[in-house]
Amino acid sequence: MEWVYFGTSIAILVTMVLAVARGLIGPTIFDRVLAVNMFGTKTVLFLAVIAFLSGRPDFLDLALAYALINFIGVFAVLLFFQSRGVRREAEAEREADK
Amino acid sequence: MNLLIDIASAVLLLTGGFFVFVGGFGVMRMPEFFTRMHAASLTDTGGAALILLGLMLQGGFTLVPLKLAAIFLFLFLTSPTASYALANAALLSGVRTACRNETGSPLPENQPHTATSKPAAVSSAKASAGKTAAAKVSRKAAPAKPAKTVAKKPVKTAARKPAKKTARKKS
Repeated sequence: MEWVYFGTSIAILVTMVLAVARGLIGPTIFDRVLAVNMFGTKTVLFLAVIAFLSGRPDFLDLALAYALINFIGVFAVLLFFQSRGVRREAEAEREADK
Repeated sequence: MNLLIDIASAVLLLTGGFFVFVGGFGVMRMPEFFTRMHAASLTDTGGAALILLGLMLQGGFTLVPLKLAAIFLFLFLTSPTASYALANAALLSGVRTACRNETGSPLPENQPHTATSKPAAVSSAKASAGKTAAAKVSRKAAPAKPAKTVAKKPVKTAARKPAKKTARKKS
């Protein structure tokens, strides 16, 4: 079974590297947020596989905690950018009304 | 029996790993944002589900499969929500798809649902004397028609346009 865990974790690691690359080169801010979200999800999976690979089930708690943090983090960033867009529009409208 | 469970979980894990890899490859190679989101959602659903199910089979009768089930449930509640929020934020801030249909013409431009009130506000402001009051009223009457034409818009929006374009470029 060891090699199965090993292969799966390698696949997840490669995907994490690809996600980081997309986050670095991503043309828009949303590509970067998408990459961060994907990286977080893959981290959860990776921790779960590592828990079985090393035989330490306490890693699963870390995975669960990381899933929570990732979700909250993505939403915080998205709310920030969404409100920024709305604020800019309102400012532009105020300028036009003058 | 043990061998059967091992084989089943190995198949699930390796298929999940393949899904995850394909999704990562798609995120790297897809041409624009919404198609990349499609590839990322592949890893969030197929990859995560298969890998966690494969690990659950290996857990035995302990607390481990329960924890994995909790992670599974949480991922399946949050990843569609996050995807929806991301797509909505991108659409609202003006990211448009570059996809074409079979005839080669661009797809009809999607109007984000909160933006539909804006053209109505502008047109009714043109019609009535009190500008701001009319805009407020017509914004409350939200289910208005989508944007008609760019040419019909009054000077007010023409002055507003360059500012909007720069805002899009920065974000």
